[in-house]
Amino acid sequence: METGVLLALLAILVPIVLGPFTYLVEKISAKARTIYAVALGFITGGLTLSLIPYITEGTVESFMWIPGAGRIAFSVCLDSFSVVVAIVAGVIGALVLLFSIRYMKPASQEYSLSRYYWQALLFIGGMIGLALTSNLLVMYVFWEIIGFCSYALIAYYYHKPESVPAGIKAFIVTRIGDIGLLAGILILWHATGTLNIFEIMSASQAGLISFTLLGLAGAGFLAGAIGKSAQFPLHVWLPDAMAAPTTITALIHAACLVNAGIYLLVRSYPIFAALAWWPTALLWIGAITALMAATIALTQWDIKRVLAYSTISQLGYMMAAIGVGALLASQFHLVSHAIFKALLFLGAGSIMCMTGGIKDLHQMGGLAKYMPITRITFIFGLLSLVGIPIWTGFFSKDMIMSSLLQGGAYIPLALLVIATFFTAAYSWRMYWLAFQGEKRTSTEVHESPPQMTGPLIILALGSFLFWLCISPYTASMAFSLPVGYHIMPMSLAALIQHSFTSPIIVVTVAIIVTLIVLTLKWRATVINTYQKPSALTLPLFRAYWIDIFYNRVIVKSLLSFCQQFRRLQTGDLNYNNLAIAIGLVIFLIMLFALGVY
Amino acid sequence: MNLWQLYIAAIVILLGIGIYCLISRRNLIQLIIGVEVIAKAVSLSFILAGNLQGNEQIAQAIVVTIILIEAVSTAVALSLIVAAYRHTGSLDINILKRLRG
Amino acid sequence: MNISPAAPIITLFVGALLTYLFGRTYPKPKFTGLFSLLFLVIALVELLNLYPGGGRVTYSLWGAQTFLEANGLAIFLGVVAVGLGILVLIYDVSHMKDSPGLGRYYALILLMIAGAIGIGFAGDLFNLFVFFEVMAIPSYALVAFRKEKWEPVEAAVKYTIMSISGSLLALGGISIIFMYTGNLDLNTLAQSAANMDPGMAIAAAGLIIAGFGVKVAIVPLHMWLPDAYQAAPSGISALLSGITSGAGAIAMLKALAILLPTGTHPGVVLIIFGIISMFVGNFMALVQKDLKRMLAYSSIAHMGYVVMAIGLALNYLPIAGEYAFRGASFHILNHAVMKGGAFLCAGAILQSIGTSDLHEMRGIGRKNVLVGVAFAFFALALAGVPPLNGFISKFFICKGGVDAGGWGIVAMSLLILNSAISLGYYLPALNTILFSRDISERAEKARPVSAWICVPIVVMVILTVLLGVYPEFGLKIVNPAVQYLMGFAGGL
Repeated sequence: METGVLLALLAILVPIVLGPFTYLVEKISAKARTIYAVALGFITGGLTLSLIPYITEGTVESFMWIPGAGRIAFSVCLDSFSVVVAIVAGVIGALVLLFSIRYMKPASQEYSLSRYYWQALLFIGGMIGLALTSNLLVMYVFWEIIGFCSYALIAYYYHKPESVPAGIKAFIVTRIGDIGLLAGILILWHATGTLNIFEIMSASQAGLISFTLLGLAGAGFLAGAIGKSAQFPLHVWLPDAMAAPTTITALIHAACLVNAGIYLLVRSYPIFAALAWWPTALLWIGAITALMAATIALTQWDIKRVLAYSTISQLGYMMAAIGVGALLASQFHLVSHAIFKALLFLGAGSIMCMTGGIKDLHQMGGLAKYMPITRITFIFGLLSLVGIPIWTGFFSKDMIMSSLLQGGAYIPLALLVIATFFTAAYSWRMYWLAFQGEKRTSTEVHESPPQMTGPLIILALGSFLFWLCISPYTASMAFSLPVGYHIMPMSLAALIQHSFTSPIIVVTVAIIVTLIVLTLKWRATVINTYQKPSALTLPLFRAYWIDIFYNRVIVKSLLSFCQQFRRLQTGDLNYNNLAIAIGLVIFLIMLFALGVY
Repeated sequence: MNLWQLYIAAIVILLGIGIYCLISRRNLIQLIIGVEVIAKAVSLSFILAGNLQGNEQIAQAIVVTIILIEAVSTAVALSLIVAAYRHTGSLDINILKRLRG
Repeated sequence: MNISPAAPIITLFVGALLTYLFGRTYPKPKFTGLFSLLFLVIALVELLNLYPGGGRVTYSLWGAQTFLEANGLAIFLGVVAVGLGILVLIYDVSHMKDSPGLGRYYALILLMIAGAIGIGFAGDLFNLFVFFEVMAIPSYALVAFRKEKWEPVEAAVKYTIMSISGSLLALGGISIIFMYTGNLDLNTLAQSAANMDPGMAIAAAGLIIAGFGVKVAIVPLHMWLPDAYQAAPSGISALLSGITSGAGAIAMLKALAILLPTGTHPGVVLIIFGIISMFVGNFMALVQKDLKRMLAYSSIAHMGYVVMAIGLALNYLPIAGEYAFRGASFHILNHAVMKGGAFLCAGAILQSIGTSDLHEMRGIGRKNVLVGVAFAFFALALAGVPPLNGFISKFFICKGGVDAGGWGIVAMSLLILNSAISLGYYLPALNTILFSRDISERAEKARPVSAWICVPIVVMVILTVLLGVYPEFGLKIVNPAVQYLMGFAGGL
């Protein structure tokens, strides 16, 4: 076995297999357990980083998994796409676990921390596995494992009323998308006789898959990605998922799990590119989601919900980028978003931890004085999110925008530009409410300890400097896609030149909004929002009633239908016998009809 | 009219009576009788089949076995009915409606 | 070692008799259970010795020649039945220890398992019916085993009447086949059935679907099932859902397959009613308050998956048969493991808190950690969450659907949809048991669970994970069954 494959397998198996032993180590002492878990996280992160020298093209090695049925193999694939996603999971996972040492301490009174660490490690392993395999069935297995971890960790604080329903909702809503994904995988397997994504790609490029089947599979993959990456209309689970511990939100709902859908679409883009409607659908869904979520974020009062809608919005950008075939831009933004959004969530976590769990922006304010490091790092994250040059977010967003421009997708581009405007607005609103103004909480606040600020600083530097790595990043990515979809290596100079010479829409909009906000000090408008939402902001505040619609109309009517349906089970024996007789008659009629025609 | 057509008619009528009995009667013993009537229809059908196929040996074996099985299952059913009667003090199936929904 | 295909069945018949006598003469409940367990272990060894099949024994029943045949399908069904039986018997050593008349109880269980094995081994339709009854009749008595209570008796009365009339309908179907072919040997019957009168073949197929369908609980025929599963002792619920419905499905498959050459389309009916079953089962389960009743409705849904797979296989045999049969057989195995395990957990909880009302179970999983965690595994497996076993078999069924193409793809999508719907009740149940906000009074006072109960549950959790992570383990016994079925249904 090659060293690279061995390392990849270790990176998957170490957290998954050794994770459950947190329960055993806990028997020694709680401290040992925490050290054990964090150490596992760092080992995993190190293993993912050690994969960098082994980036090659295509599938590296396969292990037979189910020889008895279709010869399904567990294949490991080390290319730039997969390794980068694995590194994001491993490294951010390690940082989040480090951050958790202090952040989760108060929870240990009521809840089992072993469960927390075990599930977080299982998630990290699952995400790395999802990234590193090229077999679709294996990928789906990991896909569901991370979905399960997401559910379990959202429901982690089970004494709180909102946690468990939010977890269930997250699992079910993403699984509705997964119906499509699983069906799509099965259809592709049927059409090509293989589950290896590279073989499917070449079969698709050779035109071996009929357009009907390809279309069905494409729609299925799209549905799966929409569910996992929280795009309209299946985005409703992500805001509720904020019931999870904030560390988990940073890891799962900002940096990793939600990116899985984008990653899947990038991976499978060459398969479905032949379908004319497929990229267009991505483009529009992405653009609409980006705008919709950004407007909603403007009116939310829970800092985590603001960030959640911001995540949905940013994922919409990535989706739109895939829609015009800008795979590099989407992947670049994926990484840069993972870094700065994890940073922002951890920053919010730092605030919550130090203020005793306040997440309402009404009650924050004036924290700048007390939490200088959190504040500075938070600003770094926001600068990247808004897209101010020379933070990474600027380059990645600009790449998306200019590729949309080149692709001639003007209306989606316009939507994204407006979304950028709102992004800047909600970002600075959030900052202002949280850190500036007078202090509105009576709790004693001070700066977080080094285990928390450490990861913040590292992530802040990442969000500031990651774009400097563009040259090796693109070079490694260059040939991970089949012919026709090659990504050209890009030097740093080219990136800078490209970003500053193209119509720099992002910058313009972002800077203008930022300047406006800074000069007006945002005060008059923001702080006065204790009043009820106006007619204009009510739809935003209620998130366009989408969630309410799902609950009141779909779920409720389904349940009341079931309640009505229960009456059919009367418990009366005559009636039961009648059902048998009716069944017999129906069977006979059907068989007769089928026999005749 | 052939003799075997008469047989078929008898089978169908017996089956119909049995099913009607199962659907309409509310007395547990009557339900058992309904089941028995269906069993007789099936036995008759096997006898007819053996006769038509000239394979009476198998038909006879089958019918004997059916009678045996019928006897056992009726015994079990009757013992259950006794148990039910101990609870309800009646043979009406209307009372046996606690489990539903 | 060369043994007769009849050996496992004879072992269990003898075992049933001896267990009954043992229970009467030596009324110490624990030993009666262990004594009967001995015979199941012997039967398992015999079955594994027969693997992978081959061998046929002929005997005469009142002058009629009948056959028992050891093939892949028979051994598959036998191993599932006996394996689940062993686990349930271990469980019952503690679970049933306070009940009187345990000799009878264990003897009936052995008979029931012998019947289920016989359904697999039966080489002709008549034998099939006899063993079907051998399986069914003890189950009537077992459902009503606690006859001092109202609910078991009520459920058993309904179950008995419906099940007897169902099996008589199936027998009527068999009699029509016999009437036109004069032959009941499954190996040659399809050839003789090929020139049957189409109208009569349709009548036979309808009667067979309706008849065996009562046992499988295809939807309009399912009314007995929730009552029986809810009221029966939990071990019996596990056996009923794990063995009898699966064996019923296989009996139906065996009887229907020979009617294929007559130009009837039983497959389509099975696909449509399989889909209806899944929807009804899942919808009804969504609104249940009682854990055992909820699991019962979910059994209807799961049997719907199996019935749909059988329908796909029968209707699109050459293209979709392999995966549909594999999915159906594997799902029968997996369903026995995961639903059996879930019922055992429900029984353990019921025993420790005295009710199966879901609301009263709040937080019981935090008191009896093992049972709670095990239930989580079973619930997730039932909902088809990979890498647990339920997912793999559903995946194979779906592959069968895709291979069938056209409407098969629609059917498959509906199956996956149902899998997602089923999370809607498994997750709340799981959360009530493990992660409720408070702990109910009864759960607070819950009694600890005995080791006899823990062992089978742990074994089933291990199997649930193992069959999912390493499906090859289960495919070893599933694949011969698939091969046999492909040859049986296709090569005639």
